[in-house]
Amino acid sequence: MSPELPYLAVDAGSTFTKAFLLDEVEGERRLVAVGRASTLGDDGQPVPDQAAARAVAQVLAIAGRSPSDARVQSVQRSFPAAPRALVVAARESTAREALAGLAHLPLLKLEPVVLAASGGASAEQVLAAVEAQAPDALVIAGNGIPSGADVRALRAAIEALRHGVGGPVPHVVALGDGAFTGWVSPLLEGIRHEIAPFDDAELVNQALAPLLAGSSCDGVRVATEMVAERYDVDVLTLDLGAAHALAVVASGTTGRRRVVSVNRDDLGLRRGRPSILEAAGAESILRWMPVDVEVEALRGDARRGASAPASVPETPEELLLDHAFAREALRLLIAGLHFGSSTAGEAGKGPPPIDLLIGSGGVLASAPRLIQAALILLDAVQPEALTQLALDRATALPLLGHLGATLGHQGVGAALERDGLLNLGLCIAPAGAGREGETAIRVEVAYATRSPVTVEVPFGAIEVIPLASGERAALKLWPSRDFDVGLGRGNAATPRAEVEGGAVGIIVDARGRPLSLPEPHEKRQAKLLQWLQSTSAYAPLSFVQSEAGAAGAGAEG
Amino acid sequence: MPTLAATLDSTEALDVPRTEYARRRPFMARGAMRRVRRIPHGGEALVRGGDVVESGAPVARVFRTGRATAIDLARALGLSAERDGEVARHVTRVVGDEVVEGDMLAERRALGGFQRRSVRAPLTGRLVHVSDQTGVAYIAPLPVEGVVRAHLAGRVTEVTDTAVTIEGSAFSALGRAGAGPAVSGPLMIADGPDQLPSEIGGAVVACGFAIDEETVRRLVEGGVVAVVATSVEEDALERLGWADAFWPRAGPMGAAPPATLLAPAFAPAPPTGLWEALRSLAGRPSSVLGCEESANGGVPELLVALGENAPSLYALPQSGEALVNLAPGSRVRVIAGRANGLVGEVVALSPGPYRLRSEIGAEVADVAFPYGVRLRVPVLHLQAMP
Repeated sequence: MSPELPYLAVDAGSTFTKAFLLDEVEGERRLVAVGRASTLGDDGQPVPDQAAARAVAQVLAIAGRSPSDARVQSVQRSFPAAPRALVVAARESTAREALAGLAHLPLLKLEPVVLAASGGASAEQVLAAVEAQAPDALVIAGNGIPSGADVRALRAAIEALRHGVGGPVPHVVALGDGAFTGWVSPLLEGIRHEIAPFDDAELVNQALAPLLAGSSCDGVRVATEMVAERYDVDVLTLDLGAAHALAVVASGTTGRRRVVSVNRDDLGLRRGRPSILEAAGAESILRWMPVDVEVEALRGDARRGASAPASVPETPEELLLDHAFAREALRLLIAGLHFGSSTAGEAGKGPPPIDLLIGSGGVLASAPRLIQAALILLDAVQPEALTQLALDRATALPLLGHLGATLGHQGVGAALERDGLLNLGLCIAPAGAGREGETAIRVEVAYATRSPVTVEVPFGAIEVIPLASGERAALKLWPSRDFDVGLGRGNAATPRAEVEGGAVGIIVDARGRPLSLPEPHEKRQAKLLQWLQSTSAYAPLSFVQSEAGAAGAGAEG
Repeated sequence: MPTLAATLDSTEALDVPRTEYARRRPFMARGAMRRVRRIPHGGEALVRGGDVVESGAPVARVFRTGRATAIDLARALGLSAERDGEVARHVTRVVGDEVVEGDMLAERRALGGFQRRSVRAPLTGRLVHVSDQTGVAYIAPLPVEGVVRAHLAGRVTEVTDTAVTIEGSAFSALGRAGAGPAVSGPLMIADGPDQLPSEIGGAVVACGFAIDEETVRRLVEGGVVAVVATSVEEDALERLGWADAFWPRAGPMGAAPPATLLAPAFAPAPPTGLWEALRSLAGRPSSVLGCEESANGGVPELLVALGENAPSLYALPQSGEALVNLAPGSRVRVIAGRANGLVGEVVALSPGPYRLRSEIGAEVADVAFPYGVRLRVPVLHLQAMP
């Protein structure tokens, strides 16, 4: 069923609440305005109703509409926190299989409980885990009809839920094959529970729907799947909010799409700043700074971020620090993406190569220069070969996902998708390493409407070749012998289709894969400055002032 | 600010500026106030409408039970749990019984009575279940009464199943961060680390100096219920161990600190006007709320009861909790950024987003600070002052 237009949607985040207005423009449903208001009152406490009302009033004012013209038709939230799921199983292999079955969902997957053989011990395990971790969902997983000690362990675990929690019982899901769920269901009588098989993602979604209904993070997951299906590409979306960090990978082929999500509520760029600092370490964050910053100032910055999450960077140095934290938060997040099999003995694997990298969340969406968002994504993910970059400039990805989920993927037209997702351009990142200064790759760009350009990019450098949005060009790539753009070292490549330009252009990232920052720190800072200058990433650091840079530098702030 | 529901129902155009100028609650205020204390699920109110309560008076209570302890009777008695009911034969108590730590729960005699195994209660509580299938017994701790106390002294104006509303006259100072539940006691003032009052047990102590670990130790050992650190420098937070208390890691709330903590600012000196106000209020009943579970609501703040014999506090307008719109002439304090901690006066507000040196667009205010300093500060970085 088509939504009634104009369509108002609200996305309540932990720090900012957004309102979106969709309307029909030339026969197509388009995003026409976005409003934003702080979710936090002046006293630092959340006032979601007031924030939503303010954001709605703002978006209506921007669009020149009155409140009687539209009504809020959907409300999504990424606040207060990611739903927490605890897997309980009698065998470690079963626990892994259950986690794999939940992998696509943007839940915070807690350390699973593998039950001890003794009934008393397994009961205590469950009670201790529920008390310490406060899960919103408890997933009891199994394969086949349990036997032997597993029977007692699982019975004791369920008894513990029934008699020992001492408070509200989490949402319970029995996850497993038919034999197991048939065995466990009578034991769960009297406890509200859902049943789902391991390998049916749709039924697993339904079983956990009460936790994810209206969740912005689930909207991001659905949007990622939708884009992957629509263009038949492998997609990685990184959503970095003030209080959460979410990564979703959708890979595979049409009809056999595999989705893996990882959601962390300790890596949000504002509220999670102290955690990011602790997990990554000061050195890891400072290595991205082209200017000196004291470690104590870093700690102070981390605390300020937590205590004043709606604050904005006022100076280029504060912005650089914000972006340094963002890089490390995303790197920590990606490290949690596991693609390993659930069978015992097989190690987890990292994310597969991707075709499209999408950035979402406040810090990326509000980057004053799009190249900044692109560099954060490239530095965090370090994609190889050819990767398209896109930015959720309006933080509308959850809305697109919600519309996709409720109307079907066809309900989100290409135009609406482009309103939400801004194409930044293509990144060409040859894998390999070489000698500093020697040509890593030669790129020929044959524009449709102007003279071709050939650029040689040396190892250790990053360059941007103009190719504007809507413009098309044919590429030819000649990596040097030590470099590979996907067809083997030194093998030239000519993408079959023309590439479409983006808001940044074609980024040729010859800094090496894996990306290695030089030492000592003076050399590293010089290299960082070189990269930022060659891409005009931060105006006051540009060697040559552009018009925009000159205007920015002249403004009093 | 109307609620979302009211917005949707309204057919009038809302007079809301296209800005981020939220109406602000002043950092300090005095006058008529209203506070709502939430009653946790399963709790009950202890007061009725019209009752007059002091700060710290119990207004609601809830009995909370922690999670049970599981005792593997089968294993302890050397029995097979697979035989249904085998363990139950040896249990010496009845489900529902209260047991004291050390009480016998189950006993098994074998070999004609020569071999004896017994299981004793590891804790005091109630025996809630003995499983015939697994041989596991569960003892739940006895319910502990949790009391919700009045934060504001005054008259109870409304009592519902979920909240108690109190109205009264008070001085309030917001905290930038806090930890610990609402506690109350007489307000005491310490001008310096060697000027701590001698009898501080049960008091709320406000320190007007850069607080350090030794002072905190002495205050906690002296039995204070709350520490109001009007000036705590950011680099001291780690040494004090307060950073983790103020900004706990994501997840379930940890244990409360030994005394409720409140930090009105992170600066080397108390915010302008606060220390003078507190000194004039010394000795009066006060309440400090650091951080409670969200169900209880509340922002980190200090409340000092006003009323009979209260000082006039003429420097503070008697505006109570009226929200203020930022406008030229508004006094503001900067709470983030390079001017953090400074107090000034708004000269002008930008008509729309302004590009900062970082090139981020934000609505800004021109703020005049002492000594002729004038800066453009993002509106999001401003807190209203009285």
